[in-house]
Amino acid sequence: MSLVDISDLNVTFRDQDVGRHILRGITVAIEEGETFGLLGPSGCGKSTLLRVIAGLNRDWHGSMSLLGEAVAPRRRFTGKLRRQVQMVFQDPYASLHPRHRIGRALREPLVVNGLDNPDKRVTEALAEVGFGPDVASRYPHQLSGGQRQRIAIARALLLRPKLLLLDEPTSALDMSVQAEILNLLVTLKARFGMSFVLVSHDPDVIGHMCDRAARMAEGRIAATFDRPALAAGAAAAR
Amino acid sequence: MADPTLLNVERLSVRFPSDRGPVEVVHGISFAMGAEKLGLVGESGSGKSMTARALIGLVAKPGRVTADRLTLDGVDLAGLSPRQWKHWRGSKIGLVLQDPKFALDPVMSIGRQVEEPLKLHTAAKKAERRERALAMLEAVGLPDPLRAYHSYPHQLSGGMGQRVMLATTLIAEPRLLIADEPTSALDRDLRDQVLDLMLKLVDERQMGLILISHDLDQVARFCDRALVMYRGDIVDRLPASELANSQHPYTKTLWACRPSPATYGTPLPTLDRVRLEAGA
Ligand SMILES: Nc1ncnc2c1ncn2[C@@H]1O[C@H](COP(=O)(O)OP(=O)(O)OP(=O)(O)O)[C@@H](O)[C@H]1O
Ligand SMILES: Nc1ncnc2c1ncn2[C@@H]1O[C@H](COP(=O)(O)OP(=O)(O)OP(=O)(O)O)[C@@H](O)[C@H]1O
Ligand SMILES: [Mg+2]
Ligand SMILES: [Mg+2]
Repeated sequence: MSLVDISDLNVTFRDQDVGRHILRGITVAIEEGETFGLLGPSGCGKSTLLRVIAGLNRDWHGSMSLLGEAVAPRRRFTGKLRRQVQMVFQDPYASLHPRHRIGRALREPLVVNGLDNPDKRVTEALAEVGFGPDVASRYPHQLSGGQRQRIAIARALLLRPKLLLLDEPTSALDMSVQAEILNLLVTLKARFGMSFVLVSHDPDVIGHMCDRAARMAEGRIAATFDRPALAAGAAAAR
Repeated sequence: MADPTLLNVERLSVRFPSDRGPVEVVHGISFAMGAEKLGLVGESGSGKSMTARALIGLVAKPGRVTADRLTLDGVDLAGLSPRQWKHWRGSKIGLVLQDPKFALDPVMSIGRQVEEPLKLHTAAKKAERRERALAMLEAVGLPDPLRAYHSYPHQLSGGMGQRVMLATTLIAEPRLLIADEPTSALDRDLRDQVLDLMLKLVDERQMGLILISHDLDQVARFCDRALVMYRGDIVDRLPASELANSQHPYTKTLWACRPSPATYGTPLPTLDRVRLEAGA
C-alpha cells in the first residue's frame, strides 16, 4: 500500500458567494521513502493540496488514505497521524505565534504529544538547522526571514514525522543556506526513514531533490515525471 | 555610472541591545546610488532587510540606527520627524516587504489596501482611486483583478499576496523603490513578468531600485550593480553582470552551491564559514 493514496480529490471554496472549484479530481499515490515534488503556476492549488494531506483543510470530497489509514473528510487527525504528518508552511509567519518566544514555539508540540526531555530535544533541533541555544529566547520578529524558515523546519522535524510536507521550504533562503537546508533534509530523511512531499516553483530544486514529481495546472495534475524525466530536465520545460 | 546623488549612505549601523551588550547587525556600511538598479544579495541574516528598514525609518525599537550621512535627493533622512517620515514613506521611498502575509492587514480588503497610498498622498477621488487600483492589480499580473480587489489576504495564494504587496507600493510612484525578495514566492514565468513590470516603471519614472534577492541570476540579469553582504558588512561590490566571475570566496560559493537535476543524490557544496571568517 502507498504511503499517501489519494483518489478523485475535490475541493471547492466559497468566495463572494460563488463556489470556486480549486482541486479538480486529483489522483495521486506517493510511496514510502519517496521525495515527491509538486510544481505549477501560482494559484494552481499546490498549497491547498498540501493542506488537505496535512489535515488542515478538512472540507474535501473523494478518498484518501495516509500511512495505511483511511481518512474521512471533516475529521481532525488523531493519534499517530497527528504526529507523523507534519508541514512546513510557505509563509513562516503564518506558523509562528508572534508573541511566543522560539523556545516556546518548539517546546509546545513536544509537550502536547507527551515526549520526554523537551528542552534537550529543542536544543538539538536548533543545532540541526544551525542555531545555538540562545535563539530560543527570541521572538519571531527578531529573526531574519531565512532564520524564521529554518525555525519552522526545526519545529516540523521535532516530532520525527514519517511524512513531511514542505511548502516552498527554501524560497526565502539565500543559495548558501538553501544548500545547507537541502543537504540537512536529505540526511535526516535517510536517518529517520521519512518521506517528503515538496512544493517548489524552482525546477532546479525539484530536479535535485525529487524521485518523482507532478506538474499541476488549474487544480488538476497535468503531468507526472519519473526520475529519468527529471534528470533530463522535465521540471524546467514549459 | 548613473549620477550618484539619489541616495547617499555613509557608515550606516544598526544595533540591538541584548543581555550581553549591544549587538551590531549592520556594521557601518557605505554606498551611493543614482536612478539605477542596485542588487543587494547575501546570506540569510546578513542584514539586507535591516539595511532596507533603516533607509525607510522602520527599524523597530529597541533597535538603533546611526549614520554619518543618510540623504535621499539631498534631504537628510536622519533629521526627519515621525510625521515627515509618514509622508516620505510611500511618496518618496517605497518598500515591498519580504513576508506578504505579515505586511498586509488581514481584516482590510485588498482593494482598500492598494488604494491607501493614493488616499494619503494624492487628491485622487474615489472612482479614480478604484480605477487606478484595478489597473495596478492587473499590471502586477493578477488573473482576476476585480476578484482580488474584493478579497481578503487569507483568500489569496502565496504568490498572489506578493503581487498585491508590490501593487500597494508601486501605486504611489516613489523615487526610490526598495524591493525585499519581491518575487521569491512566484514561479519563473511570473517572476520575470513582475520584474519586467517593476523595471519598466523604474525606467519610465527615473526611479532608483534596490532589489534585495537571493537569486543571483536574477540580479545579474536585471540590475546594474551588485553589493554582496555577509554578517553585516558589504564584502563585495561589482557590476551585476560580473557576479558569476567574482573572485570573492563568499560570492563564489553562492554560485557553486546551486542545485540542479545533475546534483541529485549528492550533497551540495556549502560555505566553509570557518575559513571565510578567518579572513580568506
Ligand atoms: N480560504 C480561501 N478562500 C477562497 N479562496 C482560496 C482560499 N485559499 C486559497 N484560495 C484560492 O485557491 C487557489 C489556489 O490557492 P493555493 O494557495 O493552493 O495556490 P498555490 O498553487 O499554492 O499558489 P502559490 O504558488 O502562489 O503559493 C487560489 O486561486 C486562491 O485564491
Ligand atoms: N529585533 C531584533 N533584535 C535582535 N536582532 C535582530 C532583530 N531583528 C533582526 N535581528 C537580527 O539582525 C540580523 C539581520 O537581519 P535581516 O533581517 O536584515 O537579515 P537578511 O539579510 O534580510 O536575511 P534574510 O535573507 O534571511 O531575510 C539577523 O541576524 C537577525 O537575527
Ligand atoms: Mg502556495
Ligand atoms: Mg530579509
